[in-house]
Amino acid sequence: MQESSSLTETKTWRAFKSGDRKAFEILLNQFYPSLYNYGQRLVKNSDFAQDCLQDFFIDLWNRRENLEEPQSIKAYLVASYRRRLFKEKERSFWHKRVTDLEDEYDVEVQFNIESYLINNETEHETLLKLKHHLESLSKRQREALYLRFYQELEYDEISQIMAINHHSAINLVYESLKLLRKNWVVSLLFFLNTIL
Amino acid sequence: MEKYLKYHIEDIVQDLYFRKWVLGKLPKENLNWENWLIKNPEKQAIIEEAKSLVIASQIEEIEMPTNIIQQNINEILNHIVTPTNPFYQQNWFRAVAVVLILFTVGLVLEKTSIVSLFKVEKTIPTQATETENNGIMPLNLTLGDGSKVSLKKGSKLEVSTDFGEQTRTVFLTGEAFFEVQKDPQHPFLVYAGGIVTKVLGTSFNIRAYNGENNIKVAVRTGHVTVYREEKVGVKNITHPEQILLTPNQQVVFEKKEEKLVKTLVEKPIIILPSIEKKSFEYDETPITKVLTQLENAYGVKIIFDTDLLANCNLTASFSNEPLFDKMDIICETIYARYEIADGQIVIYAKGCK
Repeated sequence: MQESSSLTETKTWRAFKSGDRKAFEILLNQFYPSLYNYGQRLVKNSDFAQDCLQDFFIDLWNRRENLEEPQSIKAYLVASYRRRLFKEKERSFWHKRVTDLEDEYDVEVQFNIESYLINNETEHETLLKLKHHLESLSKRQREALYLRFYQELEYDEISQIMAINHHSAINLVYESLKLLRKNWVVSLLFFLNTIL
Repeated sequence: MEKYLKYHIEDIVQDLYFRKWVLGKLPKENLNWENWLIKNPEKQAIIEEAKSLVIASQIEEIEMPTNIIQQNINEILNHIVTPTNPFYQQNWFRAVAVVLILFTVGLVLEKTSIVSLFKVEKTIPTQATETENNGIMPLNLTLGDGSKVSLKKGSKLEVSTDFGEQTRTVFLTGEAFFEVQKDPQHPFLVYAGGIVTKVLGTSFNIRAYNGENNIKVAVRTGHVTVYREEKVGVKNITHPEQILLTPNQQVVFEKKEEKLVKTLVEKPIIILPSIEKKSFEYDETPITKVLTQLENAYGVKIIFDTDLLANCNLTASFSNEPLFDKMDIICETIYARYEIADGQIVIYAKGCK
């Protein structure tokens, strides 16, 4: 993040905290799309994630005076929204037995290659191996890759969002990359470069 | 570019500048990476592998409907209350101007457009009529008996031809909030997605969209009974299982498993009017007293072991946090947890020293 943009962000955040509606609108325009994208991935039910996001921002405004001044506004908002999503999701499933919960939670982070392979029913052995490796990534690994490569966040931001320590965040990404590198074949490299 | 000579492959893959190049996001004239490869040909293999890792780990884009996003942002802004400013400040004049513009626009718009944009009171005659809400805002309807229905977006309500004769029957797809006029002689029946909700006079919400896995009936005031719709042609001598719901309770019908489960609504509201504005202040108050007070305030039964919690006290001050947030805090304090079972809160605790 450049110096000047983080400075304006802090100014906007302070103005929002003191009740400036225009500043809040700026924050909404800046961060709503990312949070929307994130919410859609974490929860299968799109309306649920959206409703939760609406409530989240309205509550944020109502509690604005008591909020801290975070190092990274984006990480702070994503982390808070994530916590809220999980809490509300857990409550909405009280009608199910606790063991059923596991089936419903997923991280919908799909890789481009996966859908390419699904759509083309390709039999190429090495491509199938790649698809297999991508599928074997855990929910947390997928989430970490999403935050790192899609949202382009730094590791201290990722650790804040996923409520893990800095070292664990780094491990999640490095382990994922290591997994993808397994059984890498030269022909696959060539194949990928030609089709994409 | 020098620094890349020391990078491991995992670092290259994560480097934003490298990723931009691989994914074709750098301007065409930018040949930094090409030139770097020419200068350092021994790096070709590692770059090739890194390139493929970037492509393989590329995350699929999802639909980002810009119009919905903008709509949602506006909805948020409409819901927040700005601190009041002295009248001579801009906002006041702007507000008046906006109201005037809206009024003029309202006059100019076609009648059908207005119906889908703003809340409109509409009286439905008792003949079979179908009303569909294709707009975004809820559509308010008044039925022949005076009952009110707030039909949410993407929902359809059909009033039966014999509405008011022996029963008051309607058919719902989607979601609606009902405020039913009391008439014990003519039970009000809502058919939605395979279940029937029967009321005498009360207010409740039903959510039964075709595309969703569950149907939910939640009670605000009064009480309702919910039961599965009997299949045509199948005569049941025994009445179908009926579930009685009281305020703050809801029933969830899982379409796949055809199971009716009683639970609580996501955000229970205080039903005792005298408590509405009062804050819940506790100072070394026995937990049992706290829980009983919450029970009465929300009309929700809380089950706990009185002996086990005899020594537990609470010092806290709650205001209008949602009930479950209050429960989270209480349970945290006494190292307990709670579950919802059959529309009641059950506390599992170990006791306090």
